[in-house]
Amino acid sequence: MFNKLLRRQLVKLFGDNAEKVSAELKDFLKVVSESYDHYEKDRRMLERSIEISSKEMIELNNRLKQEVEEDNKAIYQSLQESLFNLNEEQEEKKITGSDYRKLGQVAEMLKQETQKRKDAERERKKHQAHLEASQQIAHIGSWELDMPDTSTADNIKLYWSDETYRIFGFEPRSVMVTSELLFSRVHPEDLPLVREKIRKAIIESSAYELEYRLLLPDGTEKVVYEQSRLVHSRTNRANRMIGTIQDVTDRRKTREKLIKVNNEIRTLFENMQEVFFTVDMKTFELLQMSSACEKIYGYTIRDFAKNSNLWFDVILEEDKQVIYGNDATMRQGNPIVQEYRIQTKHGDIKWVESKITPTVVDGELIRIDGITSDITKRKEAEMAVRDNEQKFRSLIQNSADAILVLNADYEIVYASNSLNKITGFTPEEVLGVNVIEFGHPDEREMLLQYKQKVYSNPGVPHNIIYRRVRKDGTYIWCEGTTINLLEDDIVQGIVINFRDITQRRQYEDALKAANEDLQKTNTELDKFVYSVSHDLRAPLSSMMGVVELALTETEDGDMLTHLDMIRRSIRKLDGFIVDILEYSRNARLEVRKQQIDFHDLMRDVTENIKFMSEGLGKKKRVNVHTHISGHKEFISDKGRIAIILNNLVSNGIRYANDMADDPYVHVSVELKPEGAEIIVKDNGIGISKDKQEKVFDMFYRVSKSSVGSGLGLYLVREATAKLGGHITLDSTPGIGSSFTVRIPNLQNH
Amino acid sequence: MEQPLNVPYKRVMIVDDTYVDRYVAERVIKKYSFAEDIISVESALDALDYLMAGKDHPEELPELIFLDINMPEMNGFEFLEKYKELPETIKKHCIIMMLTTSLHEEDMKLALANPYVYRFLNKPLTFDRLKEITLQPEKKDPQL
Repeated sequence: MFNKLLRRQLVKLFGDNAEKVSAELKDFLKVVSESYDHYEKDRRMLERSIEISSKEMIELNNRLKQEVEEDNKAIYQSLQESLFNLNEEQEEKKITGSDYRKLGQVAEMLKQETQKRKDAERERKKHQAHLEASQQIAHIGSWELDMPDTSTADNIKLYWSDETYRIFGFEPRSVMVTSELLFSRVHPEDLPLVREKIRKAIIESSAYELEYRLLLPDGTEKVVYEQSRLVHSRTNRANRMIGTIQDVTDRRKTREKLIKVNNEIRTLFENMQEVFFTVDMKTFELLQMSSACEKIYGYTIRDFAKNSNLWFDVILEEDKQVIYGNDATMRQGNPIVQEYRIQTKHGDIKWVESKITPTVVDGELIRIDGITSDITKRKEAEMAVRDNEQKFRSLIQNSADAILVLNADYEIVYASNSLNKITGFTPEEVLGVNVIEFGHPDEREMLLQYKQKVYSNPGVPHNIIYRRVRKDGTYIWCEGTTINLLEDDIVQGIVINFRDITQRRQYEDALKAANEDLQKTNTELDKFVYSVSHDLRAPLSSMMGVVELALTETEDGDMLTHLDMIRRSIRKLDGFIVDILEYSRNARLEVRKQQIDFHDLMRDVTENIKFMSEGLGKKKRVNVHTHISGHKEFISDKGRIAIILNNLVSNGIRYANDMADDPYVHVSVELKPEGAEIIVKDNGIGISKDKQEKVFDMFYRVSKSSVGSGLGLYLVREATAKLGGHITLDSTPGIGSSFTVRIPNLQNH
Repeated sequence: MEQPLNVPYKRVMIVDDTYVDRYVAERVIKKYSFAEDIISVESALDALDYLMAGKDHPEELPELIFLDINMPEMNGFEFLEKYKELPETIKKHCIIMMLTTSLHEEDMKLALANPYVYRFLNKPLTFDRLKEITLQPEKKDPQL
């Protein structure tokens, strides 16, 4: 599609890709191509005109003219001689018959000569016409200048051919040609040059070539090219100058355009990131290279020209094999494309791509034309993609989960090896199969809905628990995650990963069953404890009833003492049973959140221990003081707080100091939004340091005189822990004990 | 020290499967003249039968019933369910006291939530407990 010349140029630069240049560049090249076309047309025409107006033509013309003239001269001369002889003979002798014969011969000769001359004239005119036609076609005019002996430029005679008139903007032969007429049409800016050149040529009788502009009265500007030659006469003196004048306006315009276009192409090439180069492979001489080499290599064209091996030296050692590998192909005349890394002058490593078109003549590589471009960015991107892909692959290969990648039709396009382990199917067996086929028929609807959900939420992982068939036909429970990555550059699919949770489900089921069993056991245990406590305590209360009755029906001192001993034992046993009952309930029952009214609670507590000090045989009555302050709303488990208060207060009474003036138990409750602080302080017998840590242990009793079950403080600590609180003890033997219990307000939990 | 209580009640009923508890209750009630007459039955069913038998003779019905909770065949709560369906004549005449060894909060709550239960007492029945009843007989109106 392009001009042949341009094509050749382009192939040289771009190799096979000459036709694949970008659309933008193509448009541009089309203009260039057209310019080339015009130029060629003009050139052909010029060549033809020059051919026509060639030296031979003019000389032939001249020779003809000369011959004719010389012949004529000769004729006249012989005619004159004949006439002279005739006159002499007439004067001296009478004209003889032979003289007349002679005369007749002369006349005949003359007649023949005249004929010859006429023929020659006709011939000349024919040539003249040809010449005129040629001049008109080629826009080439000719002129002739007769120079008289005087070597001045004044009285010279100028002759113009018709085309010359036309070039100068005149009708052929409409005006008298003078040098001033000529000069009047020369562009004023070029006039001095033209005058000088012609003057010099005339004076020195030298030939000249000149290009100058004409400015015609209508404002047309023309560019003409003039050549002149001297014509020597036989006297060897240059007395004539002939020349041609050619209108080269179009050619000139075309050339200017071409130069402009070439400049643009050059600019384009210079600005391109690619390096164009040509190397003579016989001499390894760098014939040409574009300046982009500095951008890519950091080295200048000069550097490359100086060291013909530089291009190879900068290639990384490990990449040089690429060059070796392609060498043979190139030497066979095949274009090659190769990628390798170079180290630039500045030390950085770059990836480049080089396309080379070799020229092979008679099996010998004579030159290469190539383009080298920086592809580091592309390469980095490629490698990043590959890297990610590798990571992705290794991730899915090493996963214990089976991983499937599906295409948009939900067909398996990739399956990891772990699929085999889980389902018994090899990855090859499942390729191309719609993944729904592996689901349980009963769950088909659910799977289709799930698929829809996955499709409509790209990039969002969805979880599912479903049944999947194994190769042996059995079903396993699977837990899967599916994510639609169809839009993702690397994956371009839907990724499913799933694992066999059949066993886990079995464990879960077993756990659930065990839990249910446990709950049943718990309920049963609760009933059991309830029954046991009733069955144990009922006879005790019966005994107590009888003992109380008996105590009222005797006056006998020993009997009263014995009955009282029984009564105490019964109380102790009953207390023990109640403690165990409470322990059991505390350990098993959940915390029951409810609003706590400490005033109510303390009333119940004091009610319970009302007659306690008497029953314990204490000499003095122990006073219980209560002080409640602070925040109103307090949420906790009433039963457990009752356990704590009951035990701490009853301990305070049990271990009251008989030596004290006023044995007391002081209960202070301070309520804050975050929790309650309960301090139970007494002035009892106290606990020695070494025993303070042990008092909270199960069944621990401080001394022989301890009257409790050994469970009281253990229960307090357990109940406190259940409520998320903690207890501290501060005690000095002989002075008293202080228990501080902090319990969080469960309102906020 | 323990003075007779001046017979505040004409007739009381004791419902308890435990002989010893019935015996003690009877002795204590008699000893402190808490009631003129004591009807002692060993099961809740017997109690219902007795009450039904007296529905047309309210004067023969007990004014006060001491009801145990843990009993075979029909426990105290089951008795209360049946009692609810008895004729108004009977229910108007009687008030019920739970008398039990149970310390369960749930038992106490359930009992006191019943409109016919007046009090929740722990065994054994003693002079102090009887005195408590006579001192505050109107503390809770079972009919409300």
